[in-house]
Amino acid sequence: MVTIAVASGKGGTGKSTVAVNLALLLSKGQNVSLFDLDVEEPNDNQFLNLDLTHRKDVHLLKPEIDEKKCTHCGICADLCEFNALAVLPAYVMTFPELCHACGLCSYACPEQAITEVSHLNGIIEQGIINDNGNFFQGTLKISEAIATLTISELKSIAKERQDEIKVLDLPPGSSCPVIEGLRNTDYVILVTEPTPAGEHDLKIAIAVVKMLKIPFGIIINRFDVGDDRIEKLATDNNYKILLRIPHSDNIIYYYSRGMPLIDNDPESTKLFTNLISTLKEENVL
Amino acid sequence: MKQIVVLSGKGGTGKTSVSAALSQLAGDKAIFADCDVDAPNLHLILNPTNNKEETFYSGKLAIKDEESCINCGKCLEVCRFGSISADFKIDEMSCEGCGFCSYVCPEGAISMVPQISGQIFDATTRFGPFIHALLRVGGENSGKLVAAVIDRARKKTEDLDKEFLIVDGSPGVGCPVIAALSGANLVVMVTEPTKTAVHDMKRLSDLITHFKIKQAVVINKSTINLDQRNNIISYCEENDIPIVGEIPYNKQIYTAFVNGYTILEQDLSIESDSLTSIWEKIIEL
Repeated sequence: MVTIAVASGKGGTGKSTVAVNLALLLSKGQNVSLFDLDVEEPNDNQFLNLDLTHRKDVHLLKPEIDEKKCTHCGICADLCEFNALAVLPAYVMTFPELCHACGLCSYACPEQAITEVSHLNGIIEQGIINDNGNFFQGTLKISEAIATLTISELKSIAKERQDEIKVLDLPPGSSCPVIEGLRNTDYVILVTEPTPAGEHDLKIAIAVVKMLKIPFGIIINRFDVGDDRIEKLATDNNYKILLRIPHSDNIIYYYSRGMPLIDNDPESTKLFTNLISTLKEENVL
Repeated sequence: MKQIVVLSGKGGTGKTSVSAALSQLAGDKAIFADCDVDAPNLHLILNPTNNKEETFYSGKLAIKDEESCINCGKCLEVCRFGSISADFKIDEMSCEGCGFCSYVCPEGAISMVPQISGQIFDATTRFGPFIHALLRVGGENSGKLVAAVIDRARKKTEDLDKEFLIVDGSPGVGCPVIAALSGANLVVMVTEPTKTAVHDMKRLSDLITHFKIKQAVVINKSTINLDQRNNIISYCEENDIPIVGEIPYNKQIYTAFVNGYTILEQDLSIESDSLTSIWEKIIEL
């Protein structure tokens, strides 16, 4: 069993394209599961077009104050590291969007005036790819700030599954949601483009992946536009380039329509076949 | 002061290119800020000189004094983030810094230590003053760092009595995006005619509607898919969202990125005219 994360730092470099097409091609012969961890903007199913079934709701606990019991002692607000409570002389204000649901306020309240009420943070859905593959996606509820909870629910589903290969499509960036996505993965594919922004954000992503001590390789998307900065970076630091994807009108055509490249674009299908060979050579698969 | 936040939902649709061009067009009437602290890119075009650097602390980390620990396990019982192992070691990567473990520890063996979230830079550029930041590798609380950037940038806009604050945001709809919306008067959504970008824009639009902020749309790469372009137009008509302009697709934009130029400086005449007209429409909103 292997868990491969697809990440990038910069958004829009082609994470979903790589994750979806890699999973589609692998699912032709092996048990594969694909997880869309970009719960803020889940896009994989825009290409897969699967009929998804609801698997579970993800709830977050938030404090609710019983004003009849509350003595406005202020202990809860003093203890809360996230400023999610403000104790005023007459009542307590809560800021649910700042709450991390740690439960400390409710535990510490000397009057037992705080109960934790659950509310919806996100949902998890699933579908089937090519008979052999399973797909899972999380969707953060609009106006919810904390994405990590729904991501970690998806990660626990991934952990329980016995599929030969698990592909995780991560959100862009480099903070909490990305780190939650990367934890306990075996290999990371970093997708970038040969522009100053692509290089800048790739370096940030590499720093995060190195901190977590996960081996990685690089895919250069649109390798024939921009310049040779990623090639140089890879040569200078001995980073493995797994694949170069050209800037092609065909890819834009299928991408913009929400169609996968596998089975539609023969050139791209060849590229992904090569990617699988390279991942085998690297002992990832 | 008018705070204009450039967002997209999906990454890579052109937020930074549009923000840079708007910064140039607003010139000495504005302050600029980059609120994508995870993967900041606006500085790659604005090429700032940093005048002041501030270390921003946010959030805490539980640190245990092994000698005082009596292995009672109370910390493990209360931690909701899975950050305490079976042998009572604290996992720094998953610790949310809530302080529950420290609160219940009978020996006072766990202390909560403030963490560096990142650096905030007060800078000047060829177009005007610029506030930007960089999240520490693996840093938590990117939302709080974004809030600090907004806070500094708003203060600067007021102090220098400028008319506009132009903010380049991050992809997604979660914590850092919500933080960048604080105080916003207008959100410019940069989208592109692809199925995924349209899907993501709709989620972003729901978020902005939730916060009751005025929104407008820029269709970038408008020529790559006519059907999807029409989808954007009908969505905007149905929801009464003004489309302030369209920028046709041109591969030359990659040359501008590599040169560190704005689209106007690269002298792409059609695209530059579009952006000039977009800025004129934005001012009127």
